[in-house]
Amino acid sequence: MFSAQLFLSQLFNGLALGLLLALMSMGLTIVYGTLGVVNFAHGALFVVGGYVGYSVYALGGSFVAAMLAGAIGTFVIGLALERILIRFFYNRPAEDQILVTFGVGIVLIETIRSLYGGISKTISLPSWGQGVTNLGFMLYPTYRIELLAISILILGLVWILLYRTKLGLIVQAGVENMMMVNVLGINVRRVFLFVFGSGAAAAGLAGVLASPILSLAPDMASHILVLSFVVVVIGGIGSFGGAVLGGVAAGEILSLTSMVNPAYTDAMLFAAMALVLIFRPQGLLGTEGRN
Amino acid sequence: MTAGGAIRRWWPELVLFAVLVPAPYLGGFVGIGPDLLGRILIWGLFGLGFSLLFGYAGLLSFGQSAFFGTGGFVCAYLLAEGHVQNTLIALLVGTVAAAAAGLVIGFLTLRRTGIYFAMGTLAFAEMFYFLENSPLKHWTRGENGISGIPSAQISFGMMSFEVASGWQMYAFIAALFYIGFIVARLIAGSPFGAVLTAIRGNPQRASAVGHAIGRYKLAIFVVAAAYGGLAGGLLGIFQSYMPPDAFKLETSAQLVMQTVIGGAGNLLGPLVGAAVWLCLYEILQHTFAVGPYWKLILGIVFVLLVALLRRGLCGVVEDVFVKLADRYKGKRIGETSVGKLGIFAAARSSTGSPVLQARALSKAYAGFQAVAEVDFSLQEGEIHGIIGPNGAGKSTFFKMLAGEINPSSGQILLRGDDITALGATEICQLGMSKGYQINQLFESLSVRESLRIPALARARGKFRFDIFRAAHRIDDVERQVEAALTLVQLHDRQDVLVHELSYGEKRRLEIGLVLATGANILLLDEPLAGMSPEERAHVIKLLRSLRTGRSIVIVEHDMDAMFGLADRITVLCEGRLLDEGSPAHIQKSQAVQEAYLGGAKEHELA
Amino acid sequence: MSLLEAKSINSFYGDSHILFDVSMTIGRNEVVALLGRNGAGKTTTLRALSGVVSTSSGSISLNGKAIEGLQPYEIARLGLQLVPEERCVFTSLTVRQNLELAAMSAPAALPVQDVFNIFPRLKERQNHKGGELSGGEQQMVAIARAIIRDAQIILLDEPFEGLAPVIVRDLVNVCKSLAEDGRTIVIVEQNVLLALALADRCYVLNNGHVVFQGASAQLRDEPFVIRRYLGVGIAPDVERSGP
Repeated sequence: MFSAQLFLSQLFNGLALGLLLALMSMGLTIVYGTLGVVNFAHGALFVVGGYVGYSVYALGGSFVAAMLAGAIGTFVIGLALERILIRFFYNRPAEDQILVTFGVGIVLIETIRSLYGGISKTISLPSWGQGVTNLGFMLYPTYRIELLAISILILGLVWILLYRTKLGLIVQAGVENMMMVNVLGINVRRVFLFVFGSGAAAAGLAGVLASPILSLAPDMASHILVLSFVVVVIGGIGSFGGAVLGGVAAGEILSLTSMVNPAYTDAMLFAAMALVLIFRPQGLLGTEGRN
Repeated sequence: MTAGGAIRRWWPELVLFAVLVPAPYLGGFVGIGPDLLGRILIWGLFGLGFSLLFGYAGLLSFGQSAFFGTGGFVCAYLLAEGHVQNTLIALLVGTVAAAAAGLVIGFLTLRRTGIYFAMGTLAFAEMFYFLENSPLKHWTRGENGISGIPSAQISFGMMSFEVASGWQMYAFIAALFYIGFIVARLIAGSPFGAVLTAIRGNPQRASAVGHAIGRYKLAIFVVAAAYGGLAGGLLGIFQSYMPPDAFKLETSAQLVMQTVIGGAGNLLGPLVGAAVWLCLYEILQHTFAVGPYWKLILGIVFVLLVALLRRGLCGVVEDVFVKLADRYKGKRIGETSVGKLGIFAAARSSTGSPVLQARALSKAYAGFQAVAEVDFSLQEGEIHGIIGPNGAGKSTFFKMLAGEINPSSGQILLRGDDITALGATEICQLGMSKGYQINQLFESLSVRESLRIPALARARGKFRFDIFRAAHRIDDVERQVEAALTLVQLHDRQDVLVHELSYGEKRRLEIGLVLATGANILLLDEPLAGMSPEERAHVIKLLRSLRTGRSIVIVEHDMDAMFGLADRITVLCEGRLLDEGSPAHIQKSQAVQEAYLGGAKEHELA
Repeated sequence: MSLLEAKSINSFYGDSHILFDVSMTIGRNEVVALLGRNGAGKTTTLRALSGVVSTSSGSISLNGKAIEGLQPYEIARLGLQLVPEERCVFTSLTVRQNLELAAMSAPAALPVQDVFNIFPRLKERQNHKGGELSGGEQQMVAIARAIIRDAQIILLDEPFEGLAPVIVRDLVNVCKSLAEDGRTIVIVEQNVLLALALADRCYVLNNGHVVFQGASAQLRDEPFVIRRYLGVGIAPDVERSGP
């Protein structure tokens, strides 16, 4: 039977999950909006970030250090990928871009598997994240509240970066018309590099944040990839608001459905995506733009 | 057909037969048993359908596992529960079930293209995995899969025999693969298959020359699903066990990777890729140092191939053969006689009334009127030009005539019939076709193959699943192609690949595609664009020669050419009809002159 | 030494040959008009000069430095600024942000106030998004972006197209004062009268070839040229070919 407490707790879960999904999908959607490349290695980068964080954490680092390591590690990997491989594919057909990023994802996951083995790893909660908090109207796991707070903080930072800095201005303009940005004297090659790296970092950071809840296994990459896509389809391509809205919507759908029947969570999400594709193909907050 | 001709046509089947029969014997020498061969063939069978889908039609699906699993589980369920004893019947039901799933998923996912299509197939495959694991658990046994599948029973009438594992099972699988290969080859070589390659190369043009590309895509999607279902069913019988892994994304991924490694454009590419994949796995397992890294190595190989050798291993082999074949290029055998280019007969001969008419045609975009209330009429046998200064709305108007965009208001009549919202494919089938300002060609086909595409639409209508004909043996079509080749003077370049043509030749092919549709009304958008003065003269001569039996509308900026060619000229300015009449009339018109000079009156310039 | 010099440039769109051995020289402080009917290659010429499209042969030099093959942003930083026909004002950014973006990579950007002095209307609308502006205002932003970069040479592609005469008059005055301030301008314009009033010299293109070059006063004295290449021509001989 549904109690108000269960409902509220699931609502919170959905929000926490949703903001995490938003963070991760942010990377995917901005990269597609500016570079025009759909990164099929995105799920793999999530997992790589998680494992990097795990290693740092296991070496006796703090969880915060793990977060930083995960984000920076995947940022560097993203930069390397763009420089060595991705930039040669900007003019190649979409299928080739999909195939090469997909292959990169496989390579990343298999590397992880070679280094860490295939059995899932549980990440213990940081000391400041253990236990339950009394929110007055209900008890709720502390880490999830902190996760919520951290996610909001990071999304806030991304928002500031995107809407309050010069770099963000360039990215916003680039989503609209990268050639005009080029004509106005801005080194777009460096912009591409940075955007791709940041997209990877967003995935990696999300991976570290999610690891105490989801535990880590190399095989989760494909599922995460599909989830990110669904969020981007629902929210719309290339927009910050779209990623947040899509992420929260997806998180709530997953969470609230699990209240009714945990086995059907993914199906409900896919149904939602199918509805969006039929009635509003550009996504809730997307523009017609790239297709 | 002569013996030489038969061999030339059927040599892949012969070679394959020659490989499959001794394979288990030869394999024994390198430690490859019939089991491994059987497994490779099952993946090869799965890949035959995928090769048609991705290699030929260009549709990259990440969701083939849905059909592999569906076919496999339906077949396994029927056999394991004893509902069906005859293995072949069970396989057939499984295949049909997979095809049905393909129809549903294809219908939903093919509404989008490229990335959205790939993502859609990915999501649906995940959904099928979930379905197998949960709601349908009762039938599929969830994560346990279906075990206890009895050994294969083949019965023909009174006779029935059991297929034991090992050599017999290999023979069974090989036989089914062989049949699958023959069917796939038929499809690839059929007119249906030719249209698929056109769709991969340039879907907009394939649609504009009269093919209903949506139906073709759905048809091949269902075919690929059927192959997947058959392969899945075979897997269950082969292992006596149907694993739920069949539905996992990993299965789709393995198929994609094997196909790219082996070569997507070749029907045997997936087989080669499967052989590489599975043999490499076996070899690396026995080299302990590298054992656990086999997939990493394959992943790196895959990335390198996508980046550097996009056409895979078979592509490399094909390139070598092409280079050798070039040296020994023989004469073309069996020339068809060159006749007249077939043109659609006018449905009714209309003397006096226009063949094409636009009435008060308008197009408005948000806050901007591109075309406003333009009237236009084209007489039988006329060459009618459309000119106008920048921003006049010429290309928008032209696109509406060709059925590429819908007007906001107004009507378009083709010999009296309303074609206003019909779309380019239908309009082409009614006898009107457009040539583009920027070449819209099938870059990877030869000139002859390119011209066949519109000719096939003319002969077969907008869709036909005619897999039992050969694409290049329809007399009507071949005559049309020959005539088009002659008319645009590309006859001695007919076997050259389009991307190797010079620009002038490509422009002529562009016009050739329009002619091969059999259109009697041609809409030509800047046919002289980007040409050197010499090429310009050639094309002007060509355009003049096209008049007989046709009516032509031309948009052009080259005034000399326009005034030399056109019988009448329509002038648009800022979306409106400014003037219309003979070239002499237009040249004397003050209003037209001023429109071009930006409102400047001539006397003001002196 | 002339400011900008293009020698025999050939440019393709795919394998469509658009420019055939086009040469032009733009001197310091000049206003040069590029005339011709649409399809003649005027926009492609400006794009080739600014690096947006590549040239297959020929050379382009700015202040004596070879710039063919450079990226558009490199050329922009050397002082050549393209103002495209489509304007390409960023619709989700405000007027002010559009200007900020333009000023970012300029070696010596002008203060925003200087630009607002030239276009007071933009000061009023500075916090409005690009998508909310009228056509005339968008054109102002497009030109303002070039001005704020303190560009030495500005390439204007049909800046007055589709605008009301009143606005055109204002913009023409802005162009005149820019020229008086010592900036070099190359302007593509369909309105022949306007172009000849603004420009000292002009080039006429037809089918990708330069068919006339000279002082504006000279072109006025050639009604045959004007009619043939800019108007709708005179009745040609049937067999005539060539540019």
